[in-house]
Amino acid sequence: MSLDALDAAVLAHLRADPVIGANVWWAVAPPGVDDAFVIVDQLAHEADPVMPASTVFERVTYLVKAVVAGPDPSTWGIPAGERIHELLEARLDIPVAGYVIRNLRRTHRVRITEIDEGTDARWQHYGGHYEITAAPVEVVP
Amino acid sequence: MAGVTWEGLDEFRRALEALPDNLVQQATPIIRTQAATALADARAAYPVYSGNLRDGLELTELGVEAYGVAVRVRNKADHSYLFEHGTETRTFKGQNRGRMPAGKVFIPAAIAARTRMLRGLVDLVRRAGFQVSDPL
Repeated sequence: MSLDALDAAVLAHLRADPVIGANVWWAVAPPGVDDAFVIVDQLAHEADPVMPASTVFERVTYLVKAVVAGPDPSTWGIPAGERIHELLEARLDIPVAGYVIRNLRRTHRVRITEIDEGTDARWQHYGGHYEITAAPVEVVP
Repeated sequence: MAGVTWEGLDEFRRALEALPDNLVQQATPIIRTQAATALADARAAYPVYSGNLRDGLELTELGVEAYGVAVRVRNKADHSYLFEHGTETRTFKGQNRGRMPAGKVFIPAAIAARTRMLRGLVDLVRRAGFQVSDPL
């Protein structure tokens, strides 16, 4: 039972969507992926050890955002960001090995226009912070 | 600009508004303490290059309300939002340094302090005789 399974489940859930596509990466997109992609990253984690040596639930806050190059996010960035929200908000049915998702909600909207001061290149970031509360299927004593 | 407003959860507001004045006064230091803790934790964790990220942190009291006080913690540094969420390009002294992952400093500090604040407020409401299911 590992939170790696939760990370993998979020990535797989997004990658399986035909609108988002397989171009979903953890933390940073690899070299060569330059135009439009989705980033998933962990921003914070909290565990609630109610009983000694056990964890009743764990809460992970993910940054999930569509990133697109250029000044206009309307062709892909905004639709992808909205699709991210449809795919994640209140979705308790995402299968996770060893866990059951008890709550999944957006806690913060992300909307950033990034300007490279050296090249004046523009990047649009569109997505949110998604907080997942997951309970282990079996509480280890 | 990275920021978060500290004012408790909506679901607690009705209960907090119904608290006697002396308990309302007890909510105020819980909120102030955790806002200050979030700021201090973020300040300690920021990398120091120019110092702008560390120096951009600001704590503002938005005024005492019926259920306590609202305190806003934010970072006024122009690049704080990009530092926190990551960048796609990063040019420094004419060199493209490549993508920068999310900094994960302010938001984890804010989330941890928010959780402590909510636990404190839940305890306060319970001490006043209200039954509150644990939302945390």
